[in-house]
Amino acid sequence: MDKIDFLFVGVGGQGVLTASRLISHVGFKSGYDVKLTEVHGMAQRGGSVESAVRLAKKVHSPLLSKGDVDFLVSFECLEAARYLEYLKPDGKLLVSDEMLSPLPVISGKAEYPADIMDKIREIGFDFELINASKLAKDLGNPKTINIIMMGLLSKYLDISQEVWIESIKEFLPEKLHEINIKAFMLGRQVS
Amino acid sequence: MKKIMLGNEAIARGAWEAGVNFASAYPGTPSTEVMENLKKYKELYVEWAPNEKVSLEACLGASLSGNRSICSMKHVGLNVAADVLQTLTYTGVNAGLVIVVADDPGMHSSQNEQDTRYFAKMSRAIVLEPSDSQEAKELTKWAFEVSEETDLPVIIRSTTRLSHSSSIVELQDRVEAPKKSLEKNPEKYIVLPANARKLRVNLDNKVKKALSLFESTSFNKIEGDGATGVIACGVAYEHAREAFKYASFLKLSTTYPLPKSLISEFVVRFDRVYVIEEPDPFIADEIRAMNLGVEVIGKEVFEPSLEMSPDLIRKTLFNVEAPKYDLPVLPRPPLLCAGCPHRGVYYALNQIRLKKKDLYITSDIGCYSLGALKPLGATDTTVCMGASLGMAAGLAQNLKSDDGIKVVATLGDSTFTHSGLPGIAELAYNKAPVLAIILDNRTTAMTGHQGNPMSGIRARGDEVEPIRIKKVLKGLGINHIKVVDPIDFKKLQKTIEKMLKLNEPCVIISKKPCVLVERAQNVKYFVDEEKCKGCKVCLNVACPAMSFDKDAKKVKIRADLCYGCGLCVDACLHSAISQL
Repeated sequence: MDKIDFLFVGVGGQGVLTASRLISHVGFKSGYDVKLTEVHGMAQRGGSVESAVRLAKKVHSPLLSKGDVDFLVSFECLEAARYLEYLKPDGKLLVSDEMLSPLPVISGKAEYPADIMDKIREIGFDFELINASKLAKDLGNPKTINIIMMGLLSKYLDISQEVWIESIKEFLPEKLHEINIKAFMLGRQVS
Repeated sequence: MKKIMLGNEAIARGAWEAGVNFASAYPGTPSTEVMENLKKYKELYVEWAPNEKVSLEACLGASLSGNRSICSMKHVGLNVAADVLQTLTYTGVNAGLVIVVADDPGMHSSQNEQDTRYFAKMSRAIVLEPSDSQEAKELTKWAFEVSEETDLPVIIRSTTRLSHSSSIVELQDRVEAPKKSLEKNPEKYIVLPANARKLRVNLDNKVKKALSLFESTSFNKIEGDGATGVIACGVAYEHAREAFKYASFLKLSTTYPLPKSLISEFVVRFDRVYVIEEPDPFIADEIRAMNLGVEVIGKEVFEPSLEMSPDLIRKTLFNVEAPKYDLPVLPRPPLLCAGCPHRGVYYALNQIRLKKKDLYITSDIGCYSLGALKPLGATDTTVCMGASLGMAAGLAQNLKSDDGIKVVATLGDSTFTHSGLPGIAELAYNKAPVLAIILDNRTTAMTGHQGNPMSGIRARGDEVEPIRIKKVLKGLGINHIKVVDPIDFKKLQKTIEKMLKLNEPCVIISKKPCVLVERAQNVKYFVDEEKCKGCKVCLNVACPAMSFDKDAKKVKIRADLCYGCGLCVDACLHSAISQL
């Protein structure tokens, strides 16, 4: 591919940045030029979080263009809907079925739109929705949702398993290698 | 060797490679990681300063000693340090001095969108603007040489999307800068009017010297041969490269002073040029003033408050709209974390205000700014660092009456040392009837938990005696001071109510570490469904762990998100919440 654009979205604390940094590293090792954007500060306090990764022979802007993103990976359902306009019509949407209440729901002013994924399907987007929170829990570490999602994403990319495993090892602290490699393989095997 | 680096990390690397010896900063998004990354290098001294003004002064001191120095701050930090900057260009430097200023177009994490380049023009400080991480490293390295050659401070002007984007950087080794000797030069560093007049004359010569460097540097370059002329700088240049498919580009890396010969050589090739920059049309206005007879389209045609992007360029200049879908997307603003010790203070103020409707609450800059969001909504103003106190003083003097305090000011511990001390002096000296609540969570939380003089934790993690806040307040003349643990909500609320009956300046120190640093209580709470009436009153604490189950018509607490602060227990009217 000429270029591959990824958008990772979720809620502050879900490991969105770790995921995007990992794929940047994978892209870098695979010989691509890489740009990544992240959010810090105010935006991280339980707010909506996005991080973009762009791989190409030469990347100029670190920002994505709406309707042009190849992969939208969302760690939460409502966030998938929020950023859907970035995905290109034949792009791939990967979603973890987690539903986290935003402020209007927490304060009792609104209800979480539980049928949000059906609405996304009605528009015509092709997506894969997996129960990553349960998978992570069963694995013994609820924080591995992000790496499970990376395993799922890896199925769609022409990058060898070895590069991914090497990147996880280079990128994450040693004590987290085993659990995250397991999480990655689990996501890669989800069907 | 090559590495993916964050823009701020690359700036730090450039400074290190240039042999920097001294670094001082006050944290502020999006600039914080410059210092966080400088800390990783052992060869230099690093510190968190109480505020940006002090950090820039410390850098000037380091420069006089003969060492290269760097400080970093967010755009509004330069307002605090502006007093130093405006004269620093007169005095000049001994060893190279670099100031990293990160602007925040689009206001991702800031109260305004000011363009640092106007400050630079006013003071005649040099500005370099990198467009990606590699250039951030290169320009920072060069900045020290330029500073020494021109005898001026050099601003590396970043923006959020440069500071917080990562791209590939080629690493080089550190080269120790030739050590300069300590400089004593009264005519240069004592700006009494007689000296200042001479320095002012020389300032123009220094800028001319910079200009001659910038007219020929390869950091400014003309690229492409398309029929459209585009001038761009910073990360906006990268957006322009993407949005304008067939254009000629003048990429500017030196934006004060502007290389006007180079610019006119480029501009006269076209009938019209586009200038892509943010947040303000700084370069565009300068080019218009050159009267080259060419139409200049600049930032003024773009919708204000939006950061520059390829999409914004396409939409504004070429009418290309992105797709939109009609989905029931609820907003997800940031909010105080579950278990945050600030929540109790704002909930208490919210409750007190139900009875005392004329209570006015000024607040400040930090995580606790989120106490302003509904349903807590216990804030009437946030303006700038330290403003809670000064504004409260002004309000209180004008709302004075016999029935107690009407104005409450809330500010954090780091903000207190940054610019709260003069505010407290104002309250005490002028006897303003204000209750100030200092939210002491032992850290600078919003920017990523940096130490500060109130925590006593220094930049490299070593600890010193922290500022004893109670002693400081006493010393400044505050006679009524109470320290409260905000987890004890009832005591906190009573203390606030009691203090509000006084008619003189008083302070409550709400003391509890940030929940992300130290968990308050290792317990969890649950809702007894038998007792819960579904009245939703407890939801007014706005805790991320709580939500309303519309089928059961009961409130639920998610155990995996609960941090055990227990504020919901105090909020519940039916004793339906208890420890798990």
